[in-house]
Amino acid sequence: MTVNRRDFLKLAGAAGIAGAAQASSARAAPTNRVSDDWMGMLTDLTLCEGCRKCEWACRGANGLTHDQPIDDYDDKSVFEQRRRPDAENFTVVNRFASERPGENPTNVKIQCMHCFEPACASACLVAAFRKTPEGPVLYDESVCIGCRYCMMACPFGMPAYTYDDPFSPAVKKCTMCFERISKEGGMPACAEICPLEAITFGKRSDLLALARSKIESEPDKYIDHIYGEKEAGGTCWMYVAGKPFGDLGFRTDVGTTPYPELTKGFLSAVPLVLTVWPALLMGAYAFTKHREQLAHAEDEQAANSTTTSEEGIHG
Amino acid sequence: MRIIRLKIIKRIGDAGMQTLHEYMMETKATEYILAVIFLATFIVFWRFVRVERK
Amino acid sequence: MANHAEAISLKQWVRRELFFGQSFGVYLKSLITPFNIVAAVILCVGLPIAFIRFTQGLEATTNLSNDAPWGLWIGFDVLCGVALAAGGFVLASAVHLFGLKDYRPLVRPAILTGFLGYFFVVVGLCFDLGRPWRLPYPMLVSYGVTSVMFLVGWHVALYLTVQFLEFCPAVFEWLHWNKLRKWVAWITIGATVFGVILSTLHQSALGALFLLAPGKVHPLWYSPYIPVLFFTSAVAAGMSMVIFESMLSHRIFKSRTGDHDPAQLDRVLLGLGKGASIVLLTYFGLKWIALAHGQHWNLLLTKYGLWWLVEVFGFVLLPCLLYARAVRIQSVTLVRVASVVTVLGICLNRLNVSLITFRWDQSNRYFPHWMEIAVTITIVTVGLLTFRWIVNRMPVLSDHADYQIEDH
Repeated sequence: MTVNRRDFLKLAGAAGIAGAAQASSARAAPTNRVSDDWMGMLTDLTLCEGCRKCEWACRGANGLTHDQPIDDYDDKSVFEQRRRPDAENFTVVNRFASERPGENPTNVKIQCMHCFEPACASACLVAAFRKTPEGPVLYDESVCIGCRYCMMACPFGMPAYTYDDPFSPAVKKCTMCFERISKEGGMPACAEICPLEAITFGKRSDLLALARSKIESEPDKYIDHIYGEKEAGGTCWMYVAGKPFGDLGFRTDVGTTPYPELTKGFLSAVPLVLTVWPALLMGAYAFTKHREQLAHAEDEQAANSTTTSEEGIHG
Repeated sequence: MRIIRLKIIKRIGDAGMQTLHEYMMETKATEYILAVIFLATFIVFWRFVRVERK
Repeated sequence: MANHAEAISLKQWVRRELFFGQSFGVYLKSLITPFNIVAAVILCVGLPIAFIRFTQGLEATTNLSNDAPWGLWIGFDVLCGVALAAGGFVLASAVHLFGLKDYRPLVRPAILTGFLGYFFVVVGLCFDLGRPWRLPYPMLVSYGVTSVMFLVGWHVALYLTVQFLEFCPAVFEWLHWNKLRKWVAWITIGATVFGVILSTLHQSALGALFLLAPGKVHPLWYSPYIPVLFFTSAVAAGMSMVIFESMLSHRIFKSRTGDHDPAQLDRVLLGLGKGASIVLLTYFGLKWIALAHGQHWNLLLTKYGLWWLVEVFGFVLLPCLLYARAVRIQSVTLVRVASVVTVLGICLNRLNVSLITFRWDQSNRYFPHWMEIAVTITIVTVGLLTFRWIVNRMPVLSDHADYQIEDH
């Protein structure tokens, strides 16, 4: 890790982003905890106008192909197709036209949601993913074997793969600009560039309070749903919007259960099988063997007794 | 009260959201009935395939 | 290792055991058969594609995408391959643990099928993995113990080893390595028990992989019971594969089947058919209980619902009844028909879960690239060639003349 947790929180606090640093013990407890010191992002979809400067900044910050000038991102024709993040775009903005004529369309920036309990991390057989104590979910290419189970597992379908790379293909996704936010006053590139401040970076608990106050103060503008508050067990990246999220391309069937919970039962059965099966199977073997021996002895007995009497045969 | 949504297909905030208890009351009852039907079928089937070897 | 093979020179041994006593030239000529020509054509297409895959990458050879990270190589080569290879553990446990000695002649072919099945599953996996040279990482470098995939990886590796050990007696008999043969025969029971444990776990784990994809797998196929469904259906698939294969083996390898009593084989196949019908009935029951658990009755009348009914009635209940009928009228032919339907049905199920209904919510769906299909066909072909090469040389379908049956 580049910075340790306490340093990070101190920096964050000094930058005025987070409140007082609270060093709590490492999080091991599962489903029902309420986090209070993870960093997160809040995207207000009612503010976003689809300038796509966040896409431009993201490329720069992540060392992706960055040859197009920022003015090219004004091209609105990309909105004709619905896009998803890929190996060259860790975030993309899609436009959803309003059903009511004359009403503004909604622009939706999507990227890794940085789950509390990441499905990708629980799916990875080489533990290439980790949930940092700061909030971002990070991927370590150096151990990845490329099974792409993380992509199968992600409830939001965000990880992408460099299929075109024959020798060092890897999973690509948003890091919440971990390096940048680890520095004093650092902000994720997309939040920093956003001209309308539609993206807010900060302590997740603060962001949640901010989202609630937005909804409460303008109930006509916002729907009463903070996407990411509970989805898939809760995510560090959250959204507020003026329309139901189902109409804006968000998956609304991800449930509130943290994804690792889905395989927990099966994984618990494994040691039980390993412990109980040997006895059961060896028991079956012993039983079979015993019966064979009995049958064998009986045969012999029968063979002996037939010479003297017929009564020896039974069964 | 904490409401657990297990049924993945339903939307969050749906009016038809079930509590875990309601969900289990419904599914477990159906599952037990099916299991009993299966048991009966199994016995019939077992007798059906049990033929004496020639 | 003292044995009588040492009495002859290596050259003689090679000629006798590898080329059936023919000179190399005559042996080569004997290889020109219609089947081999087809196989050669397949290899001529498949091997260059393999080269492209490993030099140009996955994009050049597959239709995989960020939304469809798993394709035919996982859906068929791995999922179907593992299920169909389940015959090895079923037969080994029936004979060695449950004392069903009648089935003994089928154990070795079943174990060989299992071993080669798993081996070529790993080969298929190597095509699919982004960095196949890191295959041992989950065993040696980094341990993702929370992952179902971690279990699959370990279990497949261990089970491959176990099946190799289980097959070793045949190899050692062929090579006349008597001491080693005695040693591996001694561990048969242990290997069988371990094999059953590993099979229970990884057959179900392959299903459990999809537990993390609710909403992506269609709800009718997604169930918390999916591990049990996968395990049960794998047992039926494995048994059916043994039946199906015995039909082929005893037609193609007539010279290798020795002095088996055909009536005895028929009895055994009918017995296996009976077992398979019971397992299929159980699987059929489980399918409905899984449906009830998910409360998905309302989905049955949708397009996917009808497809689910086709699978459950046409490829689970139908072969189940065919098997039962075959047992009633003592028809081995019907048992074989049922075995084919079962094998197709279980493959259909695996493809339904992993490909056909996967991301059913999306309009832009995955369909395999022709090169993916070609690679799959190539792997199956190489598997068949390997199977034939071994069966033609080692004591698989019949006992080695020099070795008596040793019961444990």
